[in-house]
Amino acid sequence: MNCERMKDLVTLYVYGELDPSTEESVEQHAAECKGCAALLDTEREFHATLDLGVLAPPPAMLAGCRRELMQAVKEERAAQGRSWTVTVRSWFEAPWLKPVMALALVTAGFAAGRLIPLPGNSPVATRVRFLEADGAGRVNLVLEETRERKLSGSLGDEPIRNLVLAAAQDPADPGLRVESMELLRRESSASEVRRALMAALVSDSNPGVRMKAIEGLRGHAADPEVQRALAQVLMRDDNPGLRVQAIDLLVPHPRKDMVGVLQDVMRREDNDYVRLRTQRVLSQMNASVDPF
Amino acid sequence: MSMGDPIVSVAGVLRRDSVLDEPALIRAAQGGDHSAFEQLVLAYDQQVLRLALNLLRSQEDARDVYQEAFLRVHRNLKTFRFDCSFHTWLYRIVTNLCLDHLRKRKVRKEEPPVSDPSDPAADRMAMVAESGIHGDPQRRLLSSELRERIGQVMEDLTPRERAVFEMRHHQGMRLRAIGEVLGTTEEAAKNCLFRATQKMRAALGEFVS
Repeated sequence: MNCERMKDLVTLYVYGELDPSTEESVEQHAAECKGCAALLDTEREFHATLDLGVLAPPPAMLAGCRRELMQAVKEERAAQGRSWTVTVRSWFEAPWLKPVMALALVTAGFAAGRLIPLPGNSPVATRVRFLEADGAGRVNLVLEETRERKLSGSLGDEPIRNLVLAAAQDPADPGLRVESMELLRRESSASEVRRALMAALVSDSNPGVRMKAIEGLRGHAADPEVQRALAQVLMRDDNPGLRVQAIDLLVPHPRKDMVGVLQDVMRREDNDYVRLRTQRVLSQMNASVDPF
Repeated sequence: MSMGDPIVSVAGVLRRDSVLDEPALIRAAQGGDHSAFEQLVLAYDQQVLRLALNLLRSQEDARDVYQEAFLRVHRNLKTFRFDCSFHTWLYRIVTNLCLDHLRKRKVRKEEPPVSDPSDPAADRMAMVAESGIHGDPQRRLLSSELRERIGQVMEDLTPRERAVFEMRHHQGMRLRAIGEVLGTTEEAAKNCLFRATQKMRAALGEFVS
């Protein structure tokens, strides 16, 4: 090993990318040569300086990316389903299949009428899920039918509430989810409703739905489970309005086990109001603003 | 498992060495198990977003790459045959997307969107830039200038040099693994890293001398 060779190796040495015997030679030479020892120190310092250039994604950005991705995956899955339907439809549109299609429709109508008696004049949307010809001129079909049905009752009625809870999770219709949240917030004393509100608050992709959910939880901010959900909003939600609401709900109910989360918020948060409120609640708890 | 589970369990999943049985998870996701796919995303997405953000230095572009990369994983997971690690396969997708972005940017000769004023979250990036420089205002100012300068110097690296530097310096990947991701040899990755650090040393001389 000599000083010239050291200049070539020093970068890879600091990265730990030399083989063990070359690494040992570098260390031996640096122990004997003051100039190369200084070169090594400078390289280490330069290496540490480059660390300053690294950017870490804000937690809210990561949370936003996750929500958008899962929404896109859902849409892609739904589109795959639709493309399958289009393929089936294109078979029906093929000229050679037209007589079969006519027969299929007659059979479908007959089968639907026979197998699924429908009450009164209830409108029905029918979709063919599966079809096959059996070779003897017959067509076998599987139908999927959507029947419109009107229900009314109070949210206290279990079947009605269950339907509203299901609507609150309908991935295809954010408007429906907002309306459901609006209804459910009035029944937030029921634990299953609170759970639905918390689930929407931390995972719904639509900020309007999350806003309704947090409003519904307003009267339950002392509940530890609700506080955990609010902490997640503070840490992960990319919507500052929601983070403001979350800290406002947490402030009147300071809990020692939230100190770490609040200190983390102080480290990451860029909204002045949220920072101020967080600082205040930490000082109420006699906790430091920075984690040790 | 959904994206909305408590922080604790998300953190638990992220400790992938001890918690996840990755091959089983991949096979489950290949069989259409959506929650297995979500767990794979959670195990890797922080690193993916970080790589994209540091390579592209634009939140908007990093978001695009994040989404497109995982959608490609979702679409093509069935073709994954365990010929390489899932990490290598995923990083190949991510770096290819990032390199495409960088090449297009070079062709368009557009300004690097390091501090896009139209991006409301742009200054938040500075808030979370990883440095241990909280107290001393002078040091903070110097670090902020230095960070900006490093961002500018990164723009002068070739896309490949930049990718190698990011994966080695900030993601801590070995040069051999970087070579696998980029479809090249360890030696070529080593040369790229060497050139990248030389260029940065020359450009940052005033700060580091």
